[in-house]
Amino acid sequence: MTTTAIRTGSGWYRYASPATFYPLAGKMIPWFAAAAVVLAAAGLYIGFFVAPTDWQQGESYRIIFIHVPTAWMAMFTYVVMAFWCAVSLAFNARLSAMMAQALAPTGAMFAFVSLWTGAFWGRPTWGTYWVWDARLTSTLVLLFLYLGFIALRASIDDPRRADRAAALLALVGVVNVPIIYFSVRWWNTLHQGSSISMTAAPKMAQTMLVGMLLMSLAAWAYTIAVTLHRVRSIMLEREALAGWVGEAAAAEGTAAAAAGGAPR
Amino acid sequence: MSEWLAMGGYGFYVWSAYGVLAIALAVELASLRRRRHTSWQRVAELRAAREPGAQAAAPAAFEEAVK
Repeated sequence: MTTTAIRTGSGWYRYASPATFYPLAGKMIPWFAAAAVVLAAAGLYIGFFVAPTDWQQGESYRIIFIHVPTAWMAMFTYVVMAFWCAVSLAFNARLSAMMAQALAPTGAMFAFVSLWTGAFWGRPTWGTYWVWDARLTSTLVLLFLYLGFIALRASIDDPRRADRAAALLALVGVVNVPIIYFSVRWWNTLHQGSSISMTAAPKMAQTMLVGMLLMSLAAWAYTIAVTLHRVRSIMLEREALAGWVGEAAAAEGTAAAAAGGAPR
Repeated sequence: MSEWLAMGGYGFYVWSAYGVLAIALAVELASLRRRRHTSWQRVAELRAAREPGAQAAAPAAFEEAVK
């Protein structure tokens, strides 16, 4: 509590205190959730009704509007998770470890959906649901890294020890992300190369690109909203007896407040 | 409408992809809601166990709390 008080005045450190972060996260959730809904609605409208039919793949290409955003999000979420793991190891910061813990299930969900949508796009275009190609295999490894992270945490009773072990796993696994990203360049994969790059004009129709980018932004907003929601539950689970939980209970008027959660 | 749903013959693939995403999102959102509910319940239990005189009534919860 004293450290919290000392840090309160000094910039962003303030947000590392659960007492400040918990209500702030609660206020941010509806905004990101609303943004996700609006962006996804716009993205789906453009994806299904504005973007033209592909001359080669017909309507099957419309899977791109969820395949690419979920695959990007699975990779990016892993990098963010590893970042919070590094912070938690370096500064022994509880909240950073909880952020990593909150990101893992959503990352795993997106990794799974990117593999699934890829399979149902691969079948009509390549003639197969699955092939042990470098891009697909490294994305499967990404899914297993998420599941391993979750399982390892769950297998260790002491939360701080679980944080450290899981953080190490996440940091070792981060090498897989550039492998996924560059796999289509490093190996001769069945998976196509990037349609979008930083250096060249996109190899797709303008409206297709807009639909895909809107869906990607929706995935970002969704991930932020869901992660903030989950991290709040994790904070309650792990700090049930802390003073700030009493204040939060009183503010939210929950059953916990009635059962002695309120500050005394 | 049914022509649109057919997706030029690719309806099975397109809707299998979108359908599983919809299910995955629904499952995740439902589990978030459940988790929030159970974590508040746990908070209530632990805090009730900490109240004076409550230790004897709920020793298991109290031990968890002091850990």
